[in-house]
Amino acid sequence: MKHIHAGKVRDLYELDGGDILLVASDRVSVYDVSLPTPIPDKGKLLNQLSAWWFDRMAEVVPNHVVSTTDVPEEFAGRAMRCKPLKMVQVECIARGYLAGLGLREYQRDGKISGVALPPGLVEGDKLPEPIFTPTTKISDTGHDEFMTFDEVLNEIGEDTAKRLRELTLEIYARGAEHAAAQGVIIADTKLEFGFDADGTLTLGDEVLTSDSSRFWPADEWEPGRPQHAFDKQFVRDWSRSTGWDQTPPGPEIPADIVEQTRQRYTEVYERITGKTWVRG
Amino acid sequence: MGEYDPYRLIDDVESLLVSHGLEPLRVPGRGGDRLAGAGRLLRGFGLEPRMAPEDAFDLGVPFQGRINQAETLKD
Repeated sequence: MKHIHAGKVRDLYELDGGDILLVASDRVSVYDVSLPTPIPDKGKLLNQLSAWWFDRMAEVVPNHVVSTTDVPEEFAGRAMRCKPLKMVQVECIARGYLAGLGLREYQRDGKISGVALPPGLVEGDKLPEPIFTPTTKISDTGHDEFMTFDEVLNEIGEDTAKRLRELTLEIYARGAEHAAAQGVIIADTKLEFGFDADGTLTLGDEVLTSDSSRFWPADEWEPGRPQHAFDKQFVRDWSRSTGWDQTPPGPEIPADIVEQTRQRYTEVYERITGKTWVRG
Repeated sequence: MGEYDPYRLIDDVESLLVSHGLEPLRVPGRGGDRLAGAGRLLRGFGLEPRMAPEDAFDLGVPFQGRINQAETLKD
């Protein structure tokens, strides 16, 4: 097993035989800064939530998951054995609500990724219908940049571009509908696709976790202001209260905030999957 | 047919231009142009623009973390 990338929140290994291993850590990042205190079970919760979604979306698109159990013992529960894919170089983002960079783009241009939106929308508003807003990868300029659908089409070809748009919106729509019934708004999500060894377009990375999506509690949703993140809001609010300047190193998180945050991650998992989480 | 990361090609081209005494600037808002151009160039060489998982996956800053970009990128 070869460790090929250590990220702030996940690690990637190459396994003998060519599969890759995605390992989710308990690290939590706030304002792009990884905090020194782990949230127990976070990695397992997100990994298993992603696995649950992969399984649920398998009827929509093939995915890269080989096994969630055939993994090294030390990573049990928090790792996913996956097929290596040749990744598409465009990030596939679906938005059902106005937030983040999408909000900024809308406020500046009245559209996102070339998709015109009605005037008068405010932060957190639900869009008339979910939209596909692809971006470049973050690696180009340090920030991802919106692409129009025509740019994507020119970049990856008409058939693949249309298929990516269709799949992204379908996965988002199914996921958002399911989550909404459990009181969780999925405001937007980012999906990664690649081609497997047979050339089949395949869903990769992670799916509909709170690291790849914005999860908001439906009962606190109120357009016109920044929305609360379902799980890490306790950490965000607490970090603001400390006077921390949001640059590294981040502060240690006190035990009560760790516990409340852990409970929220657990609640999201249980609400969406309908399963009871057993603490490790 | 081989493959190459188009973002790496963008880096390569930037370095090449600098070596020729130019001062290339990654113009904000033109990332799509750079990416599309890199992809077309690769295809013109018979190569497919593709990325390795470790380069494509968000292993560092989660997508949700980019909520902060809306603040840091204000004009």
